Amino acid sequence: MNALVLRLLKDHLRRSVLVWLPLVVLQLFVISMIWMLHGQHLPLVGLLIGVAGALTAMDPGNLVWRSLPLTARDAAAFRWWTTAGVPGLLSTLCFAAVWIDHRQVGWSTPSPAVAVESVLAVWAVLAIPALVPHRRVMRARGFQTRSALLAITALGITLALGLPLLSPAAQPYTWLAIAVGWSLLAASAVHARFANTLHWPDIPAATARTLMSRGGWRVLLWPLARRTAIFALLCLGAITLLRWAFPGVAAVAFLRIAYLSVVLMVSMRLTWLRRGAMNTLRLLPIGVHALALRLTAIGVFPGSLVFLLTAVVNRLFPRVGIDLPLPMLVVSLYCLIFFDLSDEKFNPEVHAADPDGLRKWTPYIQQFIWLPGALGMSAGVPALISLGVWSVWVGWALAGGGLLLCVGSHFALVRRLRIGKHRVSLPQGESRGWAMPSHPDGQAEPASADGVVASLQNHCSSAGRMRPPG
Amino acid sequence: MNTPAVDFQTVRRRIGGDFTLGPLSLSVPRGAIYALVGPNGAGKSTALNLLMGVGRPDMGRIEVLGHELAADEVQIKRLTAYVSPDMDYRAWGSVGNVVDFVRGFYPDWNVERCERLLREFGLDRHERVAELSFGARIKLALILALSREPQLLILDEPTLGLDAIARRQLFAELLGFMRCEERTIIISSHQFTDLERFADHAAIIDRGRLLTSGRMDELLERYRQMEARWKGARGGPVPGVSILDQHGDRARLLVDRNAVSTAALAACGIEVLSETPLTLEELFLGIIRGTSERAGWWPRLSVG
Repeated sequence: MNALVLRLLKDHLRRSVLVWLPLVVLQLFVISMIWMLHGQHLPLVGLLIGVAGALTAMDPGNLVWRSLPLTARDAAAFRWWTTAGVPGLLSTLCFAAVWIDHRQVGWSTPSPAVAVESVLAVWAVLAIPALVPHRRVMRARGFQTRSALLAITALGITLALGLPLLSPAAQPYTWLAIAVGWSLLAASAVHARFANTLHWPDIPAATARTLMSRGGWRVLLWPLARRTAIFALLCLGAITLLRWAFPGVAAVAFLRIAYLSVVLMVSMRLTWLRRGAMNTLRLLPIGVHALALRLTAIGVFPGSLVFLLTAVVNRLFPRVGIDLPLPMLVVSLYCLIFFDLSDEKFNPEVHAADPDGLRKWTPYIQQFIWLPGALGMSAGVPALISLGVWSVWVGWALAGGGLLLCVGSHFALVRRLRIGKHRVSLPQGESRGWAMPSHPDGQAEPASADGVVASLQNHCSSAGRMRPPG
Repeated sequence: MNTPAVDFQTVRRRIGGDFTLGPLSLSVPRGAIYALVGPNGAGKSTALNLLMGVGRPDMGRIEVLGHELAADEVQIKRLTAYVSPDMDYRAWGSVGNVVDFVRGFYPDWNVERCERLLREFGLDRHERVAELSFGARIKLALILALSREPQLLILDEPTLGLDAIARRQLFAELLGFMRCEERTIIISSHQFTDLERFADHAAIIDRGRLLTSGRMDELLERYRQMEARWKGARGGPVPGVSILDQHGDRARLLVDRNAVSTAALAACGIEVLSETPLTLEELFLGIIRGTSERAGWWPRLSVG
């Protein structure tokens, strides 16, 4: 590694600290959990850091990277270290830390041989992200996004479960897999070391054209539905596999709460398109109530779909064991709607513009209370059920309270839309900052449908930074 | 040095199924301030992106500063600075992080100039890139380009989103940059007034094709807008002449004086009533209109 690669690596680690640090913490927990449960599984941590590194380290579609005088060797070495080297080192440190910690507190610890085997296995598996090209390159070569997502899903499951390779019967295959992985890792390192020609991928403007072929609300709904379907499958797969692999964990309410919390959080993140496009949507020639309702529908769509799927799977396949009680789902859905409607980030100017009413408190709720609140509400239902407090009347009271909360939140959103100030992240080419004020009667300024749709499409394609040639 | 700063040799680049750049042959002399103009979707950005290796030509050869692009891309990037509205620095967080990151790649980085430009353009090192206005992001890209000593400066719509003060600062900096005669600027913009004052060469492209190019003064001298009247029956197409407007027997013509003289027009039954020189914008509009499919039944302008 030369000085330039080291500098790039430092820059990357500094920029992506909020990505890899939580993953390191997650891996500490995964290793600890697998060792404590005495599962015959080999923890394969490091993969997610490797995949995250592969996705974030160097974007071949970004003009900044492409205009830099980077040699092929430096670029390849940098990518190898971000996808294999650094994740391997971090994972090794995770194993060492958990091993020392478990030994000190007297918890279950595998033999040094098994620990070393785990470390070697992690390094071996890191050959996968090291060898897989960047997603833009793969897309340019015709590799479908859903194939990549399936691969990432498989990696995630592998991370969560580990590989069932510590049983004596599987042992020879374990070492075979490690040997193959190390060979591939060495091959990727050699390839990175001796790369001597620069091959930036020839990326066509496919993303922009695909989006241009759609219009209206479909621009928002289609990607949302696609991501939701993947997310739902991930959630269901994860919870099913966790129960199957660790029956002991399944008995703990923690699993249900974690599941619901993940659904709440991820579904909020999935609606980023809608939130980001709020200023543009405000220009549509529809009233604020209609717009608020549509925004809400889009916002709660992912979480609701996952809940619905959970209920269906629970009914059809009772042996899977996703026995989330209906009241729990209902309460969680209310949480989802409420928090979706109050997702505006805290901003003093917005606060000053509308100091009264529920709007005043929603930033604080979102910033400080919403996650523990959601956790508490989700945990409260099973607690009530187990204490025997739950009754039909409690259920009705909860449902009524939730409904009132949602109606109140809807009007808060309408107020915000009327005030017309939303801090949003706009794509390049558009002004940034505050939206135009609306009509006094609450109707949005009319805009041509073509203009709004084009703006939405621009917004949706902003990640790809695609522009028409010219 | 006689080699051109940029030399497109029958370059062709297909993007999707509906746009093809070229075949494009274009030579930018060293020391020139070269304006690349064309309507939206003409292929200006595509051509400039090709210079930075963003996409590879399907056909042809590109030489930049005497280096062949396919072989010496890294060396070319060391000698070239590029500014585009598509440059996205948000991943680096703050302005200071971007500056510190980029400067490490260029030994010719001028720290004092960078700090001065940051001050003059009103950017703070601690500001977050994601919170900058669009114009401020362009300014940041310009600062990063002008803080070095590149041989070739490629500016793709650098005035987009800039206010009048920032635009004036930009052109003042660019004039300072051009103090060295070996340096070249290629600029693509829709600000014709600025381009006409600033650039000494121009090329007009549309739908991926080069329509005309040359020294700015020669181009503006070569084309004329003429008020004319037909004497008697209208004849056939006249090479080098296109109709911009027509009312009865009168018409406003765009005339390529290299292709046709006033005497030749008279011989074709066209009486020239008045003749006015063109601004770059008028020339652009006239040529684009004259070569458009919508130009109508009469002669499409012969350009080259």
